[in-house]
Amino acid sequence: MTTLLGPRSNSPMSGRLSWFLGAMIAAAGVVAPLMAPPFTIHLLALVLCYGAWAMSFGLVMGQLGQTSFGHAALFGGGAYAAAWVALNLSDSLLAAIGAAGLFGMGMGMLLGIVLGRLSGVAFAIASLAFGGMVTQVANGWAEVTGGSDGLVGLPFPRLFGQNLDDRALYAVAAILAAATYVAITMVLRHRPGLLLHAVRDNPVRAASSGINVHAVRIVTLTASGLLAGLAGGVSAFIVGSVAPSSLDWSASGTVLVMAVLGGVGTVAGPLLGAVGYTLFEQALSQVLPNYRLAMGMAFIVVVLLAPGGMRARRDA
Amino acid sequence: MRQLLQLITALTALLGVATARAAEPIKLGCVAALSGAGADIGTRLREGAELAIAAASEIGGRPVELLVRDSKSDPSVAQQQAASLMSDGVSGLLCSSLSSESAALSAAARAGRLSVPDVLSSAIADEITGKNCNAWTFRTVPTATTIAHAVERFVGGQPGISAGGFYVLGSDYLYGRSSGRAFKEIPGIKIVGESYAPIDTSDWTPYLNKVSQSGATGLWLPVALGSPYVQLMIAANAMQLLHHVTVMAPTGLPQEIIDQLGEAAVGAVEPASAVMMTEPASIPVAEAYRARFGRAPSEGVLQSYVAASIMLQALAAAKDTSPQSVRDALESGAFSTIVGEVRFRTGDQQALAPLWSARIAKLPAPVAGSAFAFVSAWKYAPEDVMPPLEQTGCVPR
Amino acid sequence: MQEAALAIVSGLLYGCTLMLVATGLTLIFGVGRVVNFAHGTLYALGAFLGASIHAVAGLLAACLVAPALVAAMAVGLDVLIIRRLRRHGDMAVLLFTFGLGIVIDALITGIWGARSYVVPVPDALAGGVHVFGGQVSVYSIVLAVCSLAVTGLLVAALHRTRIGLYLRAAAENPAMAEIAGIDVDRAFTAVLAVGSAFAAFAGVLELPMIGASNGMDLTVTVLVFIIVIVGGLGSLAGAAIASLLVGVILTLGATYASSAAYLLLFAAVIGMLLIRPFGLIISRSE
Repeated sequence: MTTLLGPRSNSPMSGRLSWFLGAMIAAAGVVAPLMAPPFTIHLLALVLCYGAWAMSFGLVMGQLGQTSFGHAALFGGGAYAAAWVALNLSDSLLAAIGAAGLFGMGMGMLLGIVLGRLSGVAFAIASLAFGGMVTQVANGWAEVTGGSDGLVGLPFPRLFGQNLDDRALYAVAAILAAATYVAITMVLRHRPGLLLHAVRDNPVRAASSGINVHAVRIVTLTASGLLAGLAGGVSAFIVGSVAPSSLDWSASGTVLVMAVLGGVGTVAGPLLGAVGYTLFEQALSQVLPNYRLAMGMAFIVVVLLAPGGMRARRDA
Repeated sequence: MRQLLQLITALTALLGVATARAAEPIKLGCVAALSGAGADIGTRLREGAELAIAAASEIGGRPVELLVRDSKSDPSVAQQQAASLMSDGVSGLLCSSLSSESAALSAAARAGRLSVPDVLSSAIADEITGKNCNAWTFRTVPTATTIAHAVERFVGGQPGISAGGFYVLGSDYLYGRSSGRAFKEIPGIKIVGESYAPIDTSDWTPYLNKVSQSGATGLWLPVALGSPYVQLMIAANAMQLLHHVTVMAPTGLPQEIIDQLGEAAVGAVEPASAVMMTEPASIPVAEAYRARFGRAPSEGVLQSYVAASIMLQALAAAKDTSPQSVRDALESGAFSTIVGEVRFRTGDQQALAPLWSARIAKLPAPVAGSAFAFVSAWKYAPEDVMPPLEQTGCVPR
Repeated sequence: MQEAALAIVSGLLYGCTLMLVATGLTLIFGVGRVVNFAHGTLYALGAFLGASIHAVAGLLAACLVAPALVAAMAVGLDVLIIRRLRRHGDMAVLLFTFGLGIVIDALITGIWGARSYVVPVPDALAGGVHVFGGQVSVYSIVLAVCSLAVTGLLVAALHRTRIGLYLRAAAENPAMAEIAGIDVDRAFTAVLAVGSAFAAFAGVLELPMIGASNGMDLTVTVLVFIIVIVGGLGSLAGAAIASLLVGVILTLGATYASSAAYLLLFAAVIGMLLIRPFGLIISRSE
């Protein structure tokens, strides 16, 4: 029986099925740029960015146990940073996404410092307000962020003297998603993973056994911010523009839905959720005008099927 | 259950990759804000395009199909949808409604990301065909500067409006500030106050109070079309501001508001309108719209209708339906529309089309069921009011 | 000076409209133990329902029927789903309400389309009042009075009546309340119904001022959660005062320099979170 906040089953069947799915996805991922029409590559590249973002979110919700409704501020913030650099300083890919990663890290750290002592619903509400504030700054500080129009007309970025097109950006996104997956998996396999789980499962007990809970949260959110920011930066180049809608509450809600639908307790679950969500959205939006209704209902179904996984850990 | 979902996800991914698209009809794309804050104006533009396409005959034996996509009032989504439509093989784009999305599409075309002709019929910000001018973007509505020149001529002949000076109240974004700036630069205009409200403002009372306190007799209103505009006019009417302040609306007023305000709306001015439903050539289209949608059309509908009819004529004249050929046809053609003959100026590809100064009045006979609407007070030739190319900031690539 | 006074008055009136929504949210959490992320969409639903009812039966009927319909829906959802979900913890319920918000928003777009609906101010309440060199609409005063009255009634009911006593007992210690013979489930359902009705009622009341439009749920949600953070989640008095404060800050910001207002709120929110993070939630005893 799998729950949303962690796999509870070690059955060989689920293990093998996961490997099979993973292999299929990887195959599709490699084959796609060779066969698919340009817009599909563009879409898949974007999906991979969302996937990396969702995985960074899964690190916070699934592994650290904090459900954030402001995670779009990290992704969107990275996107804005990359866009600003590209339009004002340099069209170098490394410069732009470097800025994106740094900005995301900073946001994550800020989130951790200010909100790190809160748990459960308190954290959820406060993170919503945090995200709302960041959105207001994006909307209001027009000289830098372009206000509610956002920043448009991003050039294609350059790497090693070459202009990157959609296919190249797809490769960048794929590398980013893979690196994010590997990074998170590695972290979870070693001591940091234990710390995360300890804090998630029982913050009070963790604190009494000497773990600095606040510090663990700050570091995790900073790391998550870095990954989300990088993903946001790459996505900015794929789309070609950024707007406050990449930061706001509905964006934060979207990444939550993606992660939950895919399984927020596993590392790859959120990635699959992002893939599924985006592709369903593309497919359904042309067939079913009100696909958001279907999405919302699917989300509710998942919540109702595995509510035990939603439990905020209590004091023993 | 979750694993089943994952399996379906993987299969969908593979299927999506393998799918190719091919189609018979000639396709045009319509990226409009159909949800979110801009839904009102986006829907009007879509309706205008649909009306024109429904009335169109086949071109070269092939029917014309309009593929509609929702930009969700978000410029990034608009760009995505445009790219998606380009991939679907559309010959041209229509409908782009908000200035943010029009600006995004124009900038994307300039940066080489979009290579399909786009006829804009709503946003008036200068930059779209100014600083960001490019070979793919065409615009049928006037720029903010052009409107300002028309205003200058209109106000010059109407001393009563400018007696107490003007207050500029706009939405705080590209269109609002662009229009405000252009208005302030009009020679001889006295400005007694200026405010820009956040784009999602719903409580206009503090701003309207400032207008009232400034003693202005004219109000320049570059407010985002859609719910904020509606809310503003309701509030202004409730405060009875309209009795002593002449509203000058750069992009007119939605017809539903005019219908609702009725007598209270009389006197409001649109200094530079690109098309009005009360002009003789437009009345049949207005009636056709009413027959299909049940109410009188807003200007957005007619603007979009004009753009769509131009696109259709370009399709017919082009040597084939590839985006490049359609673009060439748009650049060099002369098009017959309900506002007269229209061609696009070389360089910034702004339409050379007449403009009207219009005033809301009670109609002698209802048009499309409305008793009050904008009627023509003055007509300008394009040369009289458009800024020369050198002054637009457009440096063609 | 006059300008500031006018702004403060307008701000207080605006704050009263926010108060109705914030009170509902606080009630649902403080007494009902549900963090309702669908609260903004209930407000929007009330507005759209109200617009439709108004078209056939007038504003007064809308004020009565729309909140009743939304309350009925809340009751149904509580009995069928939320009751069972409660035992899995606050996060499960929160996520459910979040999904519910998405569904209701999609339903609104599906049923009413993407347009906005405008409702004229009733003739009896039209016109303005001159204060401090400016104007304040009569209707906004009426709305403020309604908000204050309804909020006041709620507070009185909670603290002066027996039902209120049972509700507060159920909130503080559900187990003990059960033992004392209080039907805790039914108490919570009632609270959900009332809180949802408040949100819907606010939506209907604001129709003549802002109409019903897409995206109104998002704007109000962020504002109202800021209010409850600043006022202290679970405190009705705090929510009321914070609503007025936020209203005044936003209006002053609009009058002088828009961006500063939100930054000020930002500072207040961060400040509250840093100073008394644990005071944010009344702890639950189990």
